Amino acid sequence: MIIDRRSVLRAGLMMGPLSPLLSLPVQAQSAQLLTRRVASIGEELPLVGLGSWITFNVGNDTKLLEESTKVISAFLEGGGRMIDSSPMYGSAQATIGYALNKLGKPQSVFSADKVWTSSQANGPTQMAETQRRWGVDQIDLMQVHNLVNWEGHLQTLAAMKADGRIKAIGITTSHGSRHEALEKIMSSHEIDFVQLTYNVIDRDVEQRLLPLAQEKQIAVIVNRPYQRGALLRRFEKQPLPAWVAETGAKSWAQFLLKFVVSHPAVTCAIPATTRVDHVRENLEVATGAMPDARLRQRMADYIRQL
Amino acid sequence: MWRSNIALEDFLLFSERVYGRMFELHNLALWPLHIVTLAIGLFLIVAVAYPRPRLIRMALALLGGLWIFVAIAFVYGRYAQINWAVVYLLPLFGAVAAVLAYFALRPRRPLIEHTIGISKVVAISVLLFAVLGYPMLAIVDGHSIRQAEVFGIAPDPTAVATLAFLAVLRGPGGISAMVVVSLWAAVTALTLHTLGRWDFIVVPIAAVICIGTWILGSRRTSPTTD
Repeated sequence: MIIDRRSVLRAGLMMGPLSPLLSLPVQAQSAQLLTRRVASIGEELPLVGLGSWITFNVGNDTKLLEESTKVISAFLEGGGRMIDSSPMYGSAQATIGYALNKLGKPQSVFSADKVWTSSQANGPTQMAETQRRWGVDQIDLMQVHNLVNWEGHLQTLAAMKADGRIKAIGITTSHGSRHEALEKIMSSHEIDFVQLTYNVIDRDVEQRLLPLAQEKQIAVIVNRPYQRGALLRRFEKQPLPAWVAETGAKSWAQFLLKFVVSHPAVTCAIPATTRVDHVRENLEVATGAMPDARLRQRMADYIRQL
Repeated sequence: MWRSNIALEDFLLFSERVYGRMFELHNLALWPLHIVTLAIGLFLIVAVAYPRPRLIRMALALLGGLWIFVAIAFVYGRYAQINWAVVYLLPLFGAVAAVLAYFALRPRRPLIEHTIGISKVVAISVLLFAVLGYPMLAIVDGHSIRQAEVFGIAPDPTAVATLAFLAVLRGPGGISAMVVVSLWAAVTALTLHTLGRWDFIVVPIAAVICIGTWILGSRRTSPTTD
């Protein structure tokens, strides 16, 4: 998976005078974000996606449902595609479904969800309910959540993919847990995506999992790029480095996210937010300059000295 | 070496804002039922102050009914929308309601001391706080009164009032019921602490005070009846 050269050039054109277009409706938007190709399914996905953990769990609170809709609208207007959720996230799936319905069921969405039950037999029922909550004809990517009964569910997902009921299958973990098992699955099973935690502090995956993903051409989704906001709170009072412009970042959030998505094995990161300005700030990370290996090391060193 | 960095906050499914607005929406949906539940709360205080068996039985029955109501209307009907895990706590609410119903209906007369002692003063004070003071915590916390947690409508003030009432109820079983109620106190304290709320300590403090009051009172029990 590589950053598409043409999309880099387009993204460069988006900077500066064209950036106000980010506020236009979905149909009028022509945002081009840097993408990476998911080799196994031939799909180009922007480097920045949208998570839904906590942020979209708003129950049937109409005011918050509308606010969530604005966030998703801004995400799609800005060229975002992947939205990730799980049955574990309370009402997040229903919130996404509410928003997509309000927004006219935009076709650009790349839906990513999970199966999360200890029973293989219950998996199809749960996935059907997930699809109903999203209000879509098909969930594009279905992942096994936190490796729960992964052997059974991977069998089911492989059959669903073969039948064309889903486009891609994957497996997830977070917080750096169960990486040995994840490595074995990546080595021995045909999966399209792996989702894991990676950020400027939690970098264990650089040792084995990210190189393995590159080797096996498995797309990588990164969760907790800001450690659920903890990294932003930790660094916001610290000065950005004088050379921050070299990274293409304008803020701490962009600095931290640039570090994550600039790793060549990463397909996209999925920060979650309740704010339109934050979703735009996140999406801007998938435009402009992207740190190379040398600059990434400099970024990590700077964080370490803080 | 791989490691996991899971913290308590990572088990939380919702934000503090959503949690607060949940009470606001629940209050809007049930108003003016609050007047009825507050009246029941004041009745509990009367039953403690003037402890005739019939009043005590009525108070226990009403409390049990409120636990069922809160379980169905709030926990299952609203809270479970953002926190699927609370469904597993519904049996706890049922257990408290069942124990309170048992106390209300058992042949042996329910006993609360007639004399005004330290136990009764503490119980009435905590009851007053649960019924009249607890809703004010929303304002102290910087929120609108619309997000107030009201006795008989929300679980926390209902639990505090129940603990206060049980603190002066003499006879076997009372402490067991208080322990069950305290399980909810622990759950709510963990939730509020994880949300970063300062008032996470309120319900546990009430539980400690009430259980301590029950223990002290049971050591020098000389119950009288009407």
